Amino acid sequence: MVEHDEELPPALREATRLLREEPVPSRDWRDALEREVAAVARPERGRRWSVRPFTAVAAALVCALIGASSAVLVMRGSARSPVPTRLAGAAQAQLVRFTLVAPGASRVSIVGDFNKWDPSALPLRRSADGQSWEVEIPLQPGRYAYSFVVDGTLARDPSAPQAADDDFGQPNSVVLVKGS
Amino acid sequence: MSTSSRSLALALALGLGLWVSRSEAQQVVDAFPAGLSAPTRDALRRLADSAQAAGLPAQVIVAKAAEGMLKGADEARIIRAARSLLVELMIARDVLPHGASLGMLTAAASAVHAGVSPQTVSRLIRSGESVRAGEVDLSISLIALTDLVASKVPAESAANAVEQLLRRRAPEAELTAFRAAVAHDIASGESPQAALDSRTKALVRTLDSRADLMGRRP
Repeated sequence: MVEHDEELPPALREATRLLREEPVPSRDWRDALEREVAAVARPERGRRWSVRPFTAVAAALVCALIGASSAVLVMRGSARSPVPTRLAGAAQAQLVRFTLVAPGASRVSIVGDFNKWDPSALPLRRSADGQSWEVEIPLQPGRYAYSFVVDGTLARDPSAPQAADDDFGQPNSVVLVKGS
Repeated sequence: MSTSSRSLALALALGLGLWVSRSEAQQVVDAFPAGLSAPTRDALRRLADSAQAAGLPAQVIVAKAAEGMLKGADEARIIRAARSLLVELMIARDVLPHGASLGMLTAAASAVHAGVSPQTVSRLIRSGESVRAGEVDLSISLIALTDLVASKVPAESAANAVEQLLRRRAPEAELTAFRAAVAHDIASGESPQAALDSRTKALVRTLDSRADLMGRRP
């Protein structure tokens, strides 16, 4: 800042000088201030917990348990259904017809991923001409391994691809059900 | 909050967690065939738990156990098959695009089970995606590949053939007929490789001719 005090009249110049001087606090005022500061209690620490640490840890544990329980309950929905459900997206069940030509058979059923491989769950109906057997099953879109049971013996569907899931020595057939 | 209240809240939360996990485990155990021994059910339950923990459906483990029971397999073999399936599902999930359906997941796992390497499955998927093949086309291709390998066609040759057909967007009906024709030729005494080569060449020629006519050859 450029000062031009020499251009001012003497009286005004003196007044300006006085205003520029730092005021010296009185001894009494300083003593009073020091007493006041000393009277204020110093805080024990700079930052305080809004909740106690034990409570915070307990709350975090409870939240984690509730979250884990909810996730398990959601997953349980897909495990309960006997029919495989899609991992992504949703689609309606399709009616899938399975047919086997077995004129000499007296009883045919179908087993697969869709009925927990229960041979009594889905029997096939004999056709009017007695040559073939068929059943229609509502299936969600997906891939299913299956096999026929002809008079108590497992038989692969000759019209369908092999599943190669022959862990147990008897290969399955496979059907892919597409979404609508 | 007093110490006793905190202890009670913690005990309740722990009890809830234990109850949920126990009832979940019990439900999986209940789903396994009744004829299995307790140790086998326990081993299978652990596999099902591992599947769930990995984000895979536990019912495929249950279905595998049921299949083993129906086919009269001994319990050690059932456990082995279920364990193998879990590993193959994990491999399949790693090579498939995020959010793949259960159908595609099991199709890929079945291909791996048949002897197709994860790298080959991954290559097939990428190849299909490059021509914008949908999930159904990819699943059908994986199923055809598995069927060919199950018919004794070498895995890598089968994968190359299916990849060629997938890149040409072979319709499902033609892929099905192709697969059946290869199986027929093999049953008639032709070597699997020769049957695959001749049938692939014929179908590729057909698909290319059709694409030429429509002006969209790949």
